[in-house]
Amino acid sequence: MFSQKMIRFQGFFLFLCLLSIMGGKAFAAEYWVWVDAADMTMADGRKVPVWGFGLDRDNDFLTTDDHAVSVPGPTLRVGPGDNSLIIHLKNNLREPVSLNILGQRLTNNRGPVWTNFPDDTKTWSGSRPVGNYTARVRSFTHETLPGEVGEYRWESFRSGTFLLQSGTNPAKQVEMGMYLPIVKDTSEGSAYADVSYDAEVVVIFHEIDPAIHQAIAAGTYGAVPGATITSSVNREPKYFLMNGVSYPSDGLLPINGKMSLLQGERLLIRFLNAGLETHVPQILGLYMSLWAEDGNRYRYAKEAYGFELSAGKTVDSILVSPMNPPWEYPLYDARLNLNNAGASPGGMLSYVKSSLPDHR
Amino acid sequence: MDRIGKEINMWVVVLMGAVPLFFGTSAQGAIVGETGSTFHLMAKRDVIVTSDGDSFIMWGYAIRDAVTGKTGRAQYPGPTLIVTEDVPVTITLRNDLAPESGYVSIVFPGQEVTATGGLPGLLTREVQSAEILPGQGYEQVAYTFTPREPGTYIYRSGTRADLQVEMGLFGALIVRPAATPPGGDPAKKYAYNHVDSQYDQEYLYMMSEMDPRIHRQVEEKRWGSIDFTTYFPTNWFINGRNYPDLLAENNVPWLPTQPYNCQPRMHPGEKVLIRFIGAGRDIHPMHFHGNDFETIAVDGRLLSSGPGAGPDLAWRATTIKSMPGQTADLIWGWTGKELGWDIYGHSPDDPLEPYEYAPNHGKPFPVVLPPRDAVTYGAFYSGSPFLGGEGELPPGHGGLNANGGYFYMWHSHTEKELTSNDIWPGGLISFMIVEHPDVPID
Repeated sequence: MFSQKMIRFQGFFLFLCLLSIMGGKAFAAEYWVWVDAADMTMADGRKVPVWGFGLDRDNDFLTTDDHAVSVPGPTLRVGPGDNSLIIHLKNNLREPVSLNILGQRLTNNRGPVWTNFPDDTKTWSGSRPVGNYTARVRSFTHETLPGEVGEYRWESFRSGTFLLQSGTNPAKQVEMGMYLPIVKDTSEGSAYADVSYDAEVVVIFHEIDPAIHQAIAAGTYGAVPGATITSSVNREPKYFLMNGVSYPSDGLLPINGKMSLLQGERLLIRFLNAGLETHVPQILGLYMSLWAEDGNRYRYAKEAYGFELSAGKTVDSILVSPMNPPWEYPLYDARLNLNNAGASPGGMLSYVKSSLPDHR
Repeated sequence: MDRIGKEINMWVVVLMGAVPLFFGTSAQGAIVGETGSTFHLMAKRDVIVTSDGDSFIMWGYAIRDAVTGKTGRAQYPGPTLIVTEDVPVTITLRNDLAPESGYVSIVFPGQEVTATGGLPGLLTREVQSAEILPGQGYEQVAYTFTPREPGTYIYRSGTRADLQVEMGLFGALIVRPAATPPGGDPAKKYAYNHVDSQYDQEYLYMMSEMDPRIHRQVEEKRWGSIDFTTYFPTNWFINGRNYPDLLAENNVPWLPTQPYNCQPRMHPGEKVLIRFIGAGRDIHPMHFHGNDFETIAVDGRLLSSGPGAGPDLAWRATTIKSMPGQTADLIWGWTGKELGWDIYGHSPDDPLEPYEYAPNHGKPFPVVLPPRDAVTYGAFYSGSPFLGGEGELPPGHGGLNANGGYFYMWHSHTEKELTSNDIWPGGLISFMIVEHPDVPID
């Protein structure tokens, strides 16, 4: 029925479409992320149920070899040339989840999602259901239901350090561990304009109240029949973690691992607070240059040995080791959360290490 | 003179209880502390009192005489160490606490410290109790550093810091500039090496808090019960005292382990430097009534866009949070500008006072005051709406404002912190007194 000319035109059109898709892909960072339940072992050996993110590296959600989840989740990187971030989210939990990046606009957001309170059996997306004054927002962004795969797309992704969190019942799902850092440099080796670095470390402060975790895992948290903990109002964290571990975990001794510093080198520390409490990162023996807050570059750096890192915040700092290596600089919470469930020493205590060249 | 003053105070104690103790004394417009470059400290156990009448076991740094070996009382907070830029500082520390209290140490955020002696610890070298292995060389640790920049700093315990800071092992370190800054007046005082850090009066605001349960557990040696995840403070302190004790003079004999007061005073037009330090673990939003302040420095560094630019990134505010382990320098001023009346009660032909707001010169007080006996007067009302004025008050009214100054409440805006163990008023309340230019300060 179609003329040869028409077919040729269609072929050309398809080619154009393919080109535009491929072109789009070239400028987007794309990740396949799972969320699943797991147990996390604290420094004192206690196992705490968590919900964490894992990265499916072969992008199919089929194989099971690389599906370990962690709290915090893996650091996702958006290339300096990537305009967009696309996350495919597979939900292995038994309740709906969603994603939200503080400070970035979710382009394909079909949320918020409303539910009928307290039954939580019916949902609406977008605006409040007309005439329903008891409906509540359950999710900031569109949900991915249990067993399903959702897509979240951020176009015009800004450079900086950002915190991704669950956008669904955050008092519950963020507490359980659904957060991860996302970073984007302005150019190779520069976090922001004129903020270059030689080495980088991501430091996430967060806390865990195991009683809430256990109640959530047992289904006895929140407005449910037989609840043992009805809300997080009496939250009392027992574990104070940096990057999922606490002192004396190897991961903090030093925290910059193989990224150890030579004298004069610039270490970029991307600080994030994924917990619910304010922490005050403090370093002994030198000053940091604070360069950015929530992904916004300051016009002038602030020189300080510590700063306020409130919940949900990110701060980027540059640290230059003035000392001849080897040297260790304690980096800890000046609010003195230095215990593991009350046992001292522990908690938010780590070291930044500078090493001799042959020890790197 | 002193004797009479003491006797009067004794009468006051007998007749009226503790509240008026602070009154009639003159605070100092400078920060008291230990000046020099070598300091010998001893960690000791002692007792402090709170304004609700309670007392608590504390651990504090005491001054030790290196020649005689004698030590003073433990202090809450530790001695304010006043040193000079670029002059090497040595601080030795010994430990007179009981062995079960553990080792002690000091960290100096913002300084490049070399520690020698003692034993290695998590944050720095530490010293064990003098009762353990005496004479083996472990009984003293020394910290040396050269402060490269003037400013306000903190020192705190670096050993089991959650417990030891709670117990009182912290203090202020003030680094004075080595010289008058370029373009400065040698007769004036400067906090930093820039003329825009000039001040006339300086005061320490070192914030801390206390959970009494921890101190009872230490007193009763219930070490296993100490759990900072359930921390719940009910006492709050500025310079180691709570209201109203903090208004009493420095070094009053009835507060032997809490030597430092917090009673800022100034004359109109003067610049007041507030050295603001978060010594504990909580954040306290301090609210300085009367005017905005400028935060010119944080952590001992001028808020500056570049070398020589001065505090050009200073910000103005009326409330600032004390950040644990951090310091800030605030400059506050007051002239009575735009208050709406001539604060001196001048007639239009009188000469201007220094810094007087000229548009209000000779302007009458805009309110008709009620008859003397028609209202109740607060303790800080002098009986006159004019600076330095005094008026007749009914018996039992006023009485706590000797010089007719203007009182501005400087307090935490976390209002529950204005209590001492649930007794109001207490905790984080202080008052700036603006005094008439003729009233001497210090």
